[in-house]
Amino acid sequence: MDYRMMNKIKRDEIDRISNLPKEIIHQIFKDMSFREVIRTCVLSKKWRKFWIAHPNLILDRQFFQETIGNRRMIEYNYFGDIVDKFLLQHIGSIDKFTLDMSIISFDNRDLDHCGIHFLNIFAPKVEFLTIYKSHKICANFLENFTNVKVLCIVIFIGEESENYEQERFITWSRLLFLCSNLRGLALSNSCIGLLGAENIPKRFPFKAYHLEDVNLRVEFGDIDQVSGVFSLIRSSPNLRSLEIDVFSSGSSIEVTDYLADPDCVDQQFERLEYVEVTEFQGTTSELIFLKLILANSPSLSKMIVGSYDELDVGKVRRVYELLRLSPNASPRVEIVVIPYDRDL
Amino acid sequence: MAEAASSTIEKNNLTLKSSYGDEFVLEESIAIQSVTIKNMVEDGCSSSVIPLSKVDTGTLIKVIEYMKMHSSTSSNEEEIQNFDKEFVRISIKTILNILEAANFLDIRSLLDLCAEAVANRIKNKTPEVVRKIFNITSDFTPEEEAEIRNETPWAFEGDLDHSLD
Repeated sequence: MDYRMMNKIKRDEIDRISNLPKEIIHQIFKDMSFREVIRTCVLSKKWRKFWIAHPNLILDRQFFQETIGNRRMIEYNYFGDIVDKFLLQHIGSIDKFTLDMSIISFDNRDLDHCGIHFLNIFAPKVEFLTIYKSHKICANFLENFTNVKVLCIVIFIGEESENYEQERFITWSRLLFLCSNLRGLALSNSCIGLLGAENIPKRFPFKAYHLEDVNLRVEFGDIDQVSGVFSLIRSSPNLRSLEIDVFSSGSSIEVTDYLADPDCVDQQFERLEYVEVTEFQGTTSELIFLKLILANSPSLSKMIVGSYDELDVGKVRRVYELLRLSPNASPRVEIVVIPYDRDL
Repeated sequence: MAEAASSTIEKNNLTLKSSYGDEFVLEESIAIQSVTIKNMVEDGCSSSVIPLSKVDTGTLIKVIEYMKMHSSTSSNEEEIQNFDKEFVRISIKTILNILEAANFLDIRSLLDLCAEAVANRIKNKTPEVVRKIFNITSDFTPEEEAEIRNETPWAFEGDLDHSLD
């Protein structure tokens, strides 16, 4: 038999895939769900540890949904253990990381996990990072995510906030310094509260030059949150889209004074095109905030205000009139105020 | 220097030689979709035949077919999409060969196309079926396999597909 024939027969019989270079196999699995990746562990001994070096670790809603399956009782520990096991066993670099446990509701959380620290060391290439109601995040957490472009952190602290000692969480200034490539940012109000644990300067020392999309849940009665958000906007010269979700507001003289100070905005938000506020409650602080945006955003094309369920139609109409008559820097801005719709 | 080669080959043509020794003449502008070949050309190694010792004849024919289609200026986007769809309607073994060649030759779009095609064939299949598709022989004892499944039982739950195609 000549070489050619032998080669052909060999190729027909042997297990081609297991002998391919590892990077090719990772390539095949790059868009598959993490369950799919994990299932390979049972194929053969060569595949036993394949998943632990796979560069995409996507533990998203779909993953947890499928993993819950028909289970009725969901305990946090069950999933916490799964996640910790992945993070502790994973070796090699991680390109994409998502952890979104928002479909699981917990009563009592003990989120002191060590997994995140492990991830910390090995994930300098991560561009998309989502941490959704899952883990506690420490000050040094973002130290090694310097390449992150889209960052979404939703943490839930409630009454346990004292567990977050202030110096243990990252500050705005540090966040912008570390993640200088940030293009998109989404943060929960707890997160913004923790980020404000510094004397918030009018502008942060490091500008977020790449930041275009911002989505924040803000407590308008809290001066640290409002001033933090404003400083972020001032420090983001290329901001195009701003989405604000109002968290139970309440009035605060400190905030209205801060916003009403003629010195509050001494610049134009040149690139801002789109502003959307949801759960709008109609407080003075919120209104001044929107007026400031209108008056200083020459490129603004749309402002959408979705109101909170207890805001009656008369009030909604008044808000609309106030915004419509308010001075605006952009001649083509369209203002939409949407009353709460109980059918939605 | 191969004298015969340099006198018969036009300036902008390259000769690619498969692992079986078969030679294929290809325009340089088409061949340099492969970053590996492009680098060779730029380094001046292309005056003679380019030996591709890792690519067999059948695979090289497919790769050339792909590169020709993708450098053609006369075909529109839809034609290319249809071509790609047809191109991967081949045995998994052949796709894996092309995948390895695309990796070696560094042709990004071909690598992505083949990787996706392989992924589609095993998506949501049971491990037993995946083994059959890939020709993998399990070297676990039934007890070992049960133990491994038990480490992540949730990964094997749900509606998995038992069919081969």
